[in-house]
Amino acid sequence: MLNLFTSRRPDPATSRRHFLMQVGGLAGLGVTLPAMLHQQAVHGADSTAQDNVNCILVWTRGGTSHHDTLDPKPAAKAEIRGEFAAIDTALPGVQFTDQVPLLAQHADRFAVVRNLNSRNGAHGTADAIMMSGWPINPAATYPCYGSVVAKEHGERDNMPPFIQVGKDVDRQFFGGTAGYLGVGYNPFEIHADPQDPKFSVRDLSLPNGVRMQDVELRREALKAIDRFQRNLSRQPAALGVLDRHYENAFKLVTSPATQQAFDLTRENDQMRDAYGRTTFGQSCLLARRLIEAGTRFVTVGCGEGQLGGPWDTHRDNFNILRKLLPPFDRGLSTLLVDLQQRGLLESTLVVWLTDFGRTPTINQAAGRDHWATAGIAVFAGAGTPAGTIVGATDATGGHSLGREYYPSDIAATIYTKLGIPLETTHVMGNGRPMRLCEGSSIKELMS
Amino acid sequence: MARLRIVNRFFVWMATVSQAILLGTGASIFGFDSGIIVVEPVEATLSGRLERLQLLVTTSDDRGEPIDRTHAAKYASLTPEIAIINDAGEVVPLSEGAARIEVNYRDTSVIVSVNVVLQGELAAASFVDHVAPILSKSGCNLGTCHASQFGKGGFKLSVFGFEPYADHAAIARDLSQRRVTPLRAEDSLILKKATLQIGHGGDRRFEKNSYPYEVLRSWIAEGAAGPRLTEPELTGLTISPATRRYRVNQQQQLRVVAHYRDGQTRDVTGRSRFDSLDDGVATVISTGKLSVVGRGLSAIMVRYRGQVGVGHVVSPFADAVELMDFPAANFIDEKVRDQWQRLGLQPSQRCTDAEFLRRVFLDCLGTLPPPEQVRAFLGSNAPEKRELLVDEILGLTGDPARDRYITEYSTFWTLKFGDLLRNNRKTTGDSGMWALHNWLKQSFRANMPLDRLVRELITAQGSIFENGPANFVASAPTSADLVGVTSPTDLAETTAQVFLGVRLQCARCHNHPFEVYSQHDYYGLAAFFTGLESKSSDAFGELGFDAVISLRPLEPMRMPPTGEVVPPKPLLADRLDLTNMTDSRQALADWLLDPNSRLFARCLGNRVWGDLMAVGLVEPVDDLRSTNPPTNPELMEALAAEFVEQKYDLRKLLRVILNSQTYQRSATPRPENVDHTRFYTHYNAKRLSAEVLLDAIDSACATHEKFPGVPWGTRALDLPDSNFESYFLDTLGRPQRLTFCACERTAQPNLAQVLHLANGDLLQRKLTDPLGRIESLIQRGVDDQAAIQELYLVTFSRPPVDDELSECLQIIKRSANRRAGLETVLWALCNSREFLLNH
Repeated sequence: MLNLFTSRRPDPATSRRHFLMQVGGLAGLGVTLPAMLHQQAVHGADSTAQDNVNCILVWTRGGTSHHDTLDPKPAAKAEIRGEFAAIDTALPGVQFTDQVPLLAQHADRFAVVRNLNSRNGAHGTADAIMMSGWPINPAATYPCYGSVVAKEHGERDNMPPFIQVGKDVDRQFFGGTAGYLGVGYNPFEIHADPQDPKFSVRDLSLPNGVRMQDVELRREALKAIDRFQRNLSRQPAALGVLDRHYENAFKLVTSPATQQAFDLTRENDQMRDAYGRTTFGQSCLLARRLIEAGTRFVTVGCGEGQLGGPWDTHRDNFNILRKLLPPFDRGLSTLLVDLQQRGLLESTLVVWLTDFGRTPTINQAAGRDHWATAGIAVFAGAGTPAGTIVGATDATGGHSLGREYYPSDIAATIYTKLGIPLETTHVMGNGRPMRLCEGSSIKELMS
Repeated sequence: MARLRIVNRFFVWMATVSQAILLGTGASIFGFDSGIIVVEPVEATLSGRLERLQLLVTTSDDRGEPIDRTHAAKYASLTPEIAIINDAGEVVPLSEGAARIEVNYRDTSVIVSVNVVLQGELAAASFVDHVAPILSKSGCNLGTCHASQFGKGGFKLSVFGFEPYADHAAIARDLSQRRVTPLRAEDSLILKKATLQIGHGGDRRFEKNSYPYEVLRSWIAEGAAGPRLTEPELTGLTISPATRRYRVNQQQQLRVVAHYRDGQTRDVTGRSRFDSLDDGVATVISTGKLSVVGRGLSAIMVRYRGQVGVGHVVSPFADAVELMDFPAANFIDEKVRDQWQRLGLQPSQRCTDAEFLRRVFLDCLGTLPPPEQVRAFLGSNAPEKRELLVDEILGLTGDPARDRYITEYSTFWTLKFGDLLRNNRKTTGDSGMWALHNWLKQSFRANMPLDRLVRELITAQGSIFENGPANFVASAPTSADLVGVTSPTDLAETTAQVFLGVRLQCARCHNHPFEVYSQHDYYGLAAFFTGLESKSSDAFGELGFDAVISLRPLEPMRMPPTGEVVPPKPLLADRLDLTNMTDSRQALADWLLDPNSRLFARCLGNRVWGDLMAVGLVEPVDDLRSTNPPTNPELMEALAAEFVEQKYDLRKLLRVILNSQTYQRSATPRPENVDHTRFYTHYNAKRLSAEVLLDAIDSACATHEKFPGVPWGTRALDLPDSNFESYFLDTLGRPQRLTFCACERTAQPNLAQVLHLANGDLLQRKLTDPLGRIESLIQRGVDDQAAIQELYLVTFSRPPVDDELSECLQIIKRSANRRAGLETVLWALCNSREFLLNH
């Protein structure tokens, strides 16, 4: 039985097969789902635009080809169409490529933006632009969504409000950082591989040879020694936050609840298999656990730390994607199903973004190059009407037909769903007031 | 010399800041029982119906300090058919002729003569002089409203009206001229929107029939003319009063006079925009009336047509303070004491010898003092021991045997300048990075005067492998083996920000909103750097990835979007004579390093002061502009003068600061000064920077962090750039050296830093290192008490007091074993605020 609307955790006794059936077999029920999902979306809309909506941002670093994933052009000539076949999805008349069969099956759970113009064709700048909604400004580094959420909504349940899983966000232009909000709002970064059996988060578990009772004694010793320097605490600018961070750090290290949030071994094998035993799959699973524990915004970087990102398929596009897409397909679709099963999708916005689209015409090296004027984004949850296809590209997938959306509109959509008013203004160190966002939320994605 | 005439318009506040009251020409002074009454001005001309005249009425209070009576005085026009006056002292012209205005305060009256002229070109409504300022004043063309990237509601203006032609088109031409209706001006869309007669996303900007309304209406009714070709050039603003001391709850009317190139002046108070730089101290309303609401320093920023000025507000914390027991050691203390006197502030006590020792080591060398140095210094009774220590640390004793910290000194300052100059192998390759690093280190070792150092950088050429400074002008390789020349705009921005403390980036795309820099200034500065080219070393018969930077004739610098060619010209100065100059950059360096204008000296003085005192006189330290005035302008100027006097000798500049009593204040603020960081009443504690902290942990634990690619024993401070992998350094705020902004290095704490310090494997490894401090204490058979003594010396650079000693003995006793106990003590010391902070 499907547990779409229950917030109850799945019974651990539920068989692996059962869970896989839900993930893999939902398409068959697709006919009835959109209506139900729409109901839920409408219902869920009441709870959006509040500070209890969280976000998981999936970032495929390098620029994922839109042709070869969610915007195929099966009728185009071979040098545009590429090697992948188009398959039907849960949405009548909508096709994806055969490399993302699970996303195709679950196409009725999310919305695809097909008319995204990234207005940028370079790596590095892409991370800064797509994650902030602003073009590059030589005089200011704009904060990314997660940092703004951390600043505006703050922490909850001792968990860092903004966490980045993986290294795959290009920092050359300070992408994915807090920019002018200050490093206090930078993401807490997890660089270890969640797929590694020995996965542990740096500095969160006790170092070798240190036991919990040692931590208690250390904490007391620090208090005792600091007691003699209370005069220094009269400098709040230098110290106020430092003390608070020490307090949080001790809580994070000593509280079983927060420790468990980072502990993937507490998930049963069926669940871990469903996400895929890959870095990306387990990162998605970790992201879900972090959100459950109180984190407000999780960025999951998908790439393998390669220069430019593995998605930067200038050569051998199809063979590379044959390797990259199946684990991605499984991880992302499982994340959506799992969140929905837990009743978390109403309060969790899931967004997939990438640098930009890729060229319609395949180059001499069987690759696709950078392409700014067409690309895709995926939105799900937090009141996003499921099964929506926003916009369309022309016959070659090169340009949008009709209106197009920009990174600033992506930003507006995310902020609106997370309950942060677009008029929010922050003041930079030099007194310059900075508007949060100048885009408008994408109306097809709002319920 | 290639310098023609240098007009220094930086820091215009200097000239006026000390004056208690600014009298306009022809101000009238009368005897009065509580002092004198001053009316300003007593004679004026108003050219045009849209002109206004703001009068100021000033008396003095019981202490003899000037006090504003503009809003208390009574006004009457003796010629109401020619001009009238309102209660706020604003004169409104009605018809041509000689108007006479009577000003009454208490029993005194003063007659003001106003000549009204309503004919001639100047009398008509001007887009540039009337309409654009009104839009700025009403907030229409802020970056957050119609001047945002895409405008608002389809209506886009330029930021603060810097593009009058585009703005005129947007208002009077776009949308089939729907925004203006000259035949029935009051029906114009722009007026109906702004007065909220119809819906406006930006709410009501002004009332119907208000002055802004009248300006727009008249201009539309006269045909909505565009900018005139012969618009008189504006040269500056005078704000009255320029600076004044107030008490809380006092109010003050400001008056703004614009000066034009052709010699005329106009009262533009009614069309200027007023903003408070610290509204916790003073607030201001759109008519230019400020209210003092708190204590401290603030300034009212005034903007009119791209020109800016400030009116300073001094609101003392106490009426009088006793500073007799503060002995001034040098000019710094005198200037600081003057300010405490002005502001009514009391400083903290002098810091202890132990605090001083640790502080000087960290501030000048980035290291903790060696334990034997601590013992010797604390044990010395020499009355001059602090001065002697300063000379030793800076290598100024004159005795090579005692100048033993030169290596640490040059390493530390190489790191600071390496940050500023963005020395990074990703830009210039391994060899280029090392060349610049080694050159900097050698320069600091030899104490090269900083003017020479800057000149060598700005005018660099030659091999990037052999000549370190050449890397300042060489930039990111476009491919693995091709080094290019840094773009002229990048060099202009770097030169402005690093050596002048001016952030010019805004002006790349639009005129600076808080400053007078225009796009012309930006591209004028960039034009000095268009005469460079790069050749790969292969061209000289050498293999490898070297590049040689050499001169070529200047290329024309084209300013986007028009493509206008902008000639080389320094910021806010006249053009330089470049004839017979082989390298125009030499002329630029002459201008920058001119000892009379002190442009570089002021910037560097502020940087060094900010470095040592945690907060610059101007903050951020690289954002010098008239609308971001220093908290103590006299000190800023005196430091610059001293630096020039000492021939740009960095060590001597450091010495005079370190020897000041101001630097030697305790880090414990007096209770009433807790929230003050900018008046130097106490030493502002600062977190140790990433490299300094890592080295301090290593020296406390007697360990060595190993970095990839450099020999064992290389300290974090020794690393030549940021490309040595270290989670500790990155997390604790080591800059990537991507920007030349001082803000890239940060000591702001965050959770990841604290987690890494408190619970990371790095410190744990060092505590348990088989060659480390704890193991050595055990091996040496040191007893608990002596061990604690040693641990305090290597972390806090002082012996423990008795209570601390007994606390630590307790901790050891409660631990599982002695080793664990000592580890816990050292762990706690390394995580304590006294260790993490330079205090």
